[in-house]
Amino acid sequence: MMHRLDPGMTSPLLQLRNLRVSYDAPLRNGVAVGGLDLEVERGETLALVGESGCGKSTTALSVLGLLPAHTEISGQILFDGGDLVGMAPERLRALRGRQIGMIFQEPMTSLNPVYTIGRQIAEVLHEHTDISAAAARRRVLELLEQVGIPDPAHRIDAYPHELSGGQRQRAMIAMAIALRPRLLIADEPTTALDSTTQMQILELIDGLRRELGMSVLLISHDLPLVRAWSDRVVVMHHGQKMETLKSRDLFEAGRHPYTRGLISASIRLSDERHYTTSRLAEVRAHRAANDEFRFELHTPPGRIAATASAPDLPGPDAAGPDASAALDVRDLTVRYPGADRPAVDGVSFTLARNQTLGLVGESGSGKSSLSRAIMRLIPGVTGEISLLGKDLAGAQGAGLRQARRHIQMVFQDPYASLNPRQTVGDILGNPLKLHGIAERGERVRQMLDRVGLPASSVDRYPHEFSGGQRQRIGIARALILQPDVLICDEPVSALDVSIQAQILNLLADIRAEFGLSMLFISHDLAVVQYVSDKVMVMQRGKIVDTGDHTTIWRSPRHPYTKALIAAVN
Amino acid sequence: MALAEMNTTLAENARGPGAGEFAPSRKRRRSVFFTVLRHSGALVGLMVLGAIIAMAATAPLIRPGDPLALAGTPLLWPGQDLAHPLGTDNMGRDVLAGIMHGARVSLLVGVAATALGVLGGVSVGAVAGYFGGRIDNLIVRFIEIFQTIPGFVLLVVLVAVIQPSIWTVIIGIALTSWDTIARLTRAEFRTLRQQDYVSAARSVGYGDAHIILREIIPNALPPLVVTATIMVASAILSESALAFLGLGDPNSVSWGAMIGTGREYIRTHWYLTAIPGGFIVATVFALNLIGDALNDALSPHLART
Repeated sequence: MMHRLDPGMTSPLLQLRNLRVSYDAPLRNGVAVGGLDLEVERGETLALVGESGCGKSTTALSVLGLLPAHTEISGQILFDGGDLVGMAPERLRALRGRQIGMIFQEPMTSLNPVYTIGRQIAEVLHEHTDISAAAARRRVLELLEQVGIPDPAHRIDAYPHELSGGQRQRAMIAMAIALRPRLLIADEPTTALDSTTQMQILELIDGLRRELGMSVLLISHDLPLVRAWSDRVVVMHHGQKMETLKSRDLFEAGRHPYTRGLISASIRLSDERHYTTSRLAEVRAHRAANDEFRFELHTPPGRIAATASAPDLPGPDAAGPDASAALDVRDLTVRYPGADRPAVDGVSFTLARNQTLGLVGESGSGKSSLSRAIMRLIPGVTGEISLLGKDLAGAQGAGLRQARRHIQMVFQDPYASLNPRQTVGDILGNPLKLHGIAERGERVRQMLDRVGLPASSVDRYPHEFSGGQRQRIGIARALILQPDVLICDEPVSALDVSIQAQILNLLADIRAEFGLSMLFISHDLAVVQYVSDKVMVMQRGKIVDTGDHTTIWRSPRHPYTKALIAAVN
Repeated sequence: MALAEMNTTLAENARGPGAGEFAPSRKRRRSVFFTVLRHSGALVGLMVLGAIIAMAATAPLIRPGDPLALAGTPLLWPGQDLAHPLGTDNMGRDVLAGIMHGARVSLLVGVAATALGVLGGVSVGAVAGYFGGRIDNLIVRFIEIFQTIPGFVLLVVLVAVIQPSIWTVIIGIALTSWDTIARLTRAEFRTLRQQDYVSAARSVGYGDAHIILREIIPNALPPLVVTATIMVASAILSESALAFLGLGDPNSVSWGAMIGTGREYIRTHWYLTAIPGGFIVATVFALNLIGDALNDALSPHLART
C-alpha cells in the first residue's frame, strides 16, 4: 500500500517537478523531457498536447514507471505526496493498476489476443486483491456493463479479435478502472478509432471520471478533441511546457507562438476553411544559438484561384463515359474472395479536370479498396474506369503501363510506402528510366526542390528522413511522371498537425501548378472540407452522399453524413 | 523487473516536429560488416574460417602433389617425423596434406551446394510467394514432397545411383537443402508483397520481374543470408558423412573420408579420426557463429525501417 503523506484533498493528486528524462539507447538518444512542471488536480482532466517527439508519451511512461532501458530520469513525480522517481519497483507495480490506471492508443496490441477479455480484466483483480474467481467474474460483468459493452454476459468470453475497435478500447478502459484508480492516464486513447466511436469513448472516460472521482491525464495531439474533453491543457514542445491554458479558451487565449501555430495549422470543420479562401499557417521551430527554440509562423503567399467550376456534371446515371472528365468510374465493384459482401459496391462517380474530389468514410467503408481498384492494384474488380477518356479497367501490358503514367498515387503511411533499400535518387529516378524519360538527374533535382527537400537528399535512404519529409518524397514520386490524375489515400492522417498543414499547402499548390485532378481520400472531415471542390461520402462500399464542398456540410442529406458531422462538431 | 527495449514508435518520435528541428540525418547505418565485427563470437568464427580458407588456398604450395599418394612410413604419430607434422595414415599418406587439400573439397562443396540450393530455393520461393494462388499451391505441394523425404537418405540414394564425383555430391546436397530456403523465401515474399512500396512500384508500371528482383529481394535478404550461412555448415557436414560412408568422390581427399579410413585404427591411432574431426567441428562452429552474428546484425535494421 502507498503511504499517504498528504491525506488532504487540497493538494494536487499528481505533481511533476522539474522532470527530466533522457534516452541513451541505440534507437534514440537525447533529452525527451527537459524540466517539466505540472499538476493534475483531484477530479480534473488535464490534457498534455503536442506533436510527436514533444515528450508527452515519455512523460506518461515515467509516471507509470514504464520507461524503456537506457533511460535517465531526474526530478520529482509526486503522486498523492509520495515520490515515484526512485520508488522500489514492487511498490510501483502495486501502485500501477491499483491507484493509477492506463489506456493506450492501440487496443488491439494492448490486449493479449489469446485470452478472453473477461480473463484479462479478472487478472488485474487477482493481481492486486484476494478475490474469488466467482466474485471476480461478477465484478468483470459489472465493469463491462459500466463501460457500455453491449451484452456483457456474452462478451465476457469473447477474444479481442471478436470485438470492434471501440469495444476493445472499452474493454481496455474496464481493465484500467477495475480497481477504481485515482488517476487514469490515457495516451492517445482514440487516435486509432473512427470519429463517431472517438466521441463515445471520450464521453465514457469523462463519465467515469465523474462517477469514480478520478483525475485524468489525457495525452493527445488533437487540439479540437482536447478542447472539448479536458479542463486544462498543457502545450508541450521539445520536452518543455510552452503554456498552460483553460481548455475552453484554448483556441482563443493561446499566446505562445507555438500554440498559436498549432491552432492556426489545425483545421476544424466549423471554421469552414477552404483552400481557395485561406491558406494554412505553417509553424516552424528554429533552434537559436543558446539552444532555445524560436517559433516562426509563416503563411505561404498567394491565393489559389478557384478552379473554373466545371459545367454541370452528368450524374452517374448518364449513359456512356464522359470523355471530358479526368476520371470516370461506373459501377465499380470490388469483391475479395471469401468476403460476404463486396468491399466496394457499384460505385460510380466523375472526377472533373482540375478539380479535387474528396472522399470521406470511416475505416472499413471501402475507400482504400476503391483507390486501389482505380490504380489497378487489386484483382476481383468489375466495372468501368475511364482515364482521360480512355479505358483503364481493361488495359493490359504496355497499354496499362502507358496509362499508369497519367495516374499516380500518394500513400498513407510514409514509412511503409518507400522501399527502405533504395536511395531517394533511385526511388525518383527509376520510374523515369522505366518510361524512357531523359534528363533524369535534372528532373529529380527539380522535383525535390519543388516538394521542399534539399538536393542532397538524392543519395540518402528513406530512414534518414522524418515522417513529414518521407511524405514529401512520396509526393515527389507520384508527381515525377507528371500525371494528370493524383489519388491521395489518407496522405496526411499519419502526420502531425504542423506537417499536415505543410503537406496540404503543398498539395494545393501542386494541384494548381501541375493542373492535376485529384481524388482525395480521408477520414478527417475538416481536411476533406479544406481541400475539396466536391465531396462524396462512402459507407459500407457505397457512395451515400455527394455534394458541393459547402453544401454537403451545411445541409447534409444522408443520415450517415449527419452522424459524421455531429461526431466532430 | 526487466526494462523493455525501446519500441520503434517511441524512437521514431525523436524526428517528430514536436522534438524541434530535424534535418535529414547524416548518420549512416554502420555497415553490416562492422556490426558483425563487434560481435566477439563472430570475430572468433571469422578468424577460424579465415585460417581454413588460407589453408585451402595454400595447399598446393605447402603440400604440392597428390595428397592421396604415399608419402612416408605408415602410421607415424604427429610430431614423430617433422616432415609429417600431423603424422601419416595406414597407407603412409601425409595427414597434413589430407587436411589441407580436404579443406578445399569441404569449402567447395559447402559453398557450391549452398549457392545452387539458394539459387533454386529463392527462385521457386519467390515465384510462389509473389504470385500466390494456384502456382503457390502447386509449388508448396512440391516443396512438401522434398520435406517429407529424409534428406540424407535421398542424398545417399542419389550418390549411390549416379557415379560419385564431387559434382554429383554438390548437386545431391543442393537437392536436399533447397526446400528450406524456398519455404523461407516464400514466407518473406508473402509479407513483403503487401507492402505499400510494392504497390507504389506497381502503380509506376514496373513489371513483375523488376518488382521481385529490385523491390522485394533486397528487403528479404537478411534472413536468407543468415540461413545460407548455416546451410554452408550443414552441406560440409553432409559431404563428410557421405565420404565417411565411402560414397564420396574416390579421387579426391576429404575430411569425412579420412575419418572413414581412420576409424579402423581408432584404438591405436586415434589422431587419424580426431584431427579431421576437429577440423569439421571447427569449420561448422565458425560458420554457425558467423550466422548468429549476421542474424543479430541484420535484424535491427529490419526493425528500424
